[in-house]
Amino acid sequence: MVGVAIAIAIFFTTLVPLYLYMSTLHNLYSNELNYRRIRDIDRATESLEIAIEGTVIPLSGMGNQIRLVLKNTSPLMIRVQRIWAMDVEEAAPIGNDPCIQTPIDVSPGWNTSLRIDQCLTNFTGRAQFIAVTERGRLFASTPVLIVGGRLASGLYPYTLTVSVINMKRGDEYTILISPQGDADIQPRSITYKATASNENISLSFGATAGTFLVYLLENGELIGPGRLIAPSTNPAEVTLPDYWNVVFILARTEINPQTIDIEIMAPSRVLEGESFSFDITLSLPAQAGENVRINHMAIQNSITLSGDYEPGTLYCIPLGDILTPGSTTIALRCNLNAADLRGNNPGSITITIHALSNAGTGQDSGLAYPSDSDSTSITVRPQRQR
Amino acid sequence: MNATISPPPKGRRPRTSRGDTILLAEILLFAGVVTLGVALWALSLGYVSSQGTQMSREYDRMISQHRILLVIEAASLQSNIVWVSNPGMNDVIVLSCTIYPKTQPSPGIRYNIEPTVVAASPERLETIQGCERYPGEPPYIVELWYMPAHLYNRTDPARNVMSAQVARYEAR
Repeated sequence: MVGVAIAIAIFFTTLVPLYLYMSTLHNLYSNELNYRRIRDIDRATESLEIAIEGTVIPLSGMGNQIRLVLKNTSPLMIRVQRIWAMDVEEAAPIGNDPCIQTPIDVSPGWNTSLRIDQCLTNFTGRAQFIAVTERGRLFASTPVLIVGGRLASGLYPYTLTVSVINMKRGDEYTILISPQGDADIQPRSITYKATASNENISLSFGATAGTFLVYLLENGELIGPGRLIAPSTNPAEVTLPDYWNVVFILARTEINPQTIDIEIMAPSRVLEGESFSFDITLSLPAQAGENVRINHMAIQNSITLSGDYEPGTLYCIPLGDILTPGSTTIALRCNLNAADLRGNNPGSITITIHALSNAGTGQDSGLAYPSDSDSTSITVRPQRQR
Repeated sequence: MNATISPPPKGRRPRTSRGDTILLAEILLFAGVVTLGVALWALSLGYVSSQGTQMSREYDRMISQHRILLVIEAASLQSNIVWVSNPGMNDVIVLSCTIYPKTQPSPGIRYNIEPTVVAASPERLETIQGCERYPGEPPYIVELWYMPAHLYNRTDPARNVMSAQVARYEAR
């Protein structure tokens, strides 16, 4: 009886507690495993997108800003514990300290924007931002180029376009841009030499927001209001991003059509009954203010033949098309047959081109260019065997 | 021959030692059973207690390994400094820190730094200095071996290895 009692006592005081203790431990372990599994799933579910924005607000006096946008694309609340700004080239944190150490909560589906340019003061190189979450995940941005503490891709987010209309051929035009305050622009000056009268150009400059004074100089001198049709002042003031272009319209340069010099290049003598060719060349004086398109038909129609030639054998091929100022070009190459002579005496052919009022047309002005006249005589010799 | 048995005298029984012997035997038996039972009980308690302690230690080791987590947040290859935090639930101790080219195999636990305790708190940032650097071309792997701080035994490196876990970080 006593033995049974002792056996029962041993059972209830040792084995049962041992079993209960084991069971408790196992439950504890099981709970820990579950907790760890939940934590791992939560960690794996975390998803944070990091974007870098460069904004330039010089007019507000806030200077250049670089902001980090944290977008929580997971269904969980994410607490960003720290943000590091890493120097990608050196593989080290910029400043050897975290950029932001204050915890930031980002709700599911929301995003938050943080100013981070204070971490990049005077930094030049490739920077990458790494956000460390409370659950121990690291999320990195794509590396971006920073120049002097400013985001390179956002250095000049705007474009200022400067147009100059009716430039004078041969003159040098300089556009000077003076940024006001914190505004910046690149390049700040461009010089262009006009190659034709009344030429137009449009140039674009990368700029930040802000106010700029745009100067236009002609041969190194500021163009006065008398020469400008628009704008009313030189320099012109423009403020980006409200206005993004400046158009300087200069008074149009008057073009006086120059007389085109016509010359007939023909052989001095030909044999009777033979075919020969001659060229008609045109020369445009260098004073001409524009290119001239040759009027072949008018020139061909102005050719007059007389003497010993076979009628109906003249035909011409147009060659050159455009005359630039100061150039000479063959406008027509013509063929003609000399007639058979009736005796042993030599004959002659006279080719004449009369003065024209429209030998060519100005490409820019559309004006008709006149030409002078020319004439040449060709001796026609009899065949020897006759 | 008839044997006559005389009746006992009236009013007084003759005293014998037979009852004493039985009682003594019963007492001795009872004492023996009780002694044996107590001894068995004590033995059982000792065994259970020992088993309980052993189980506690084993479960503690297993649970601790699930509760620890070390994160390498940043590393400076210029100064061989590694910034770590511990978002887990147990303090950890860092045993080894190596920086080696990604193209090379892991050198494993090197016990190359003074063991550093990192408290369990995501807010706290600790620095690990003096990491062993292996030559080679980037990118590099920063590798830390760590274990639950309360399981660390300075005199038993082999046992420490059994509880150690690794954290890695790629530095370009």
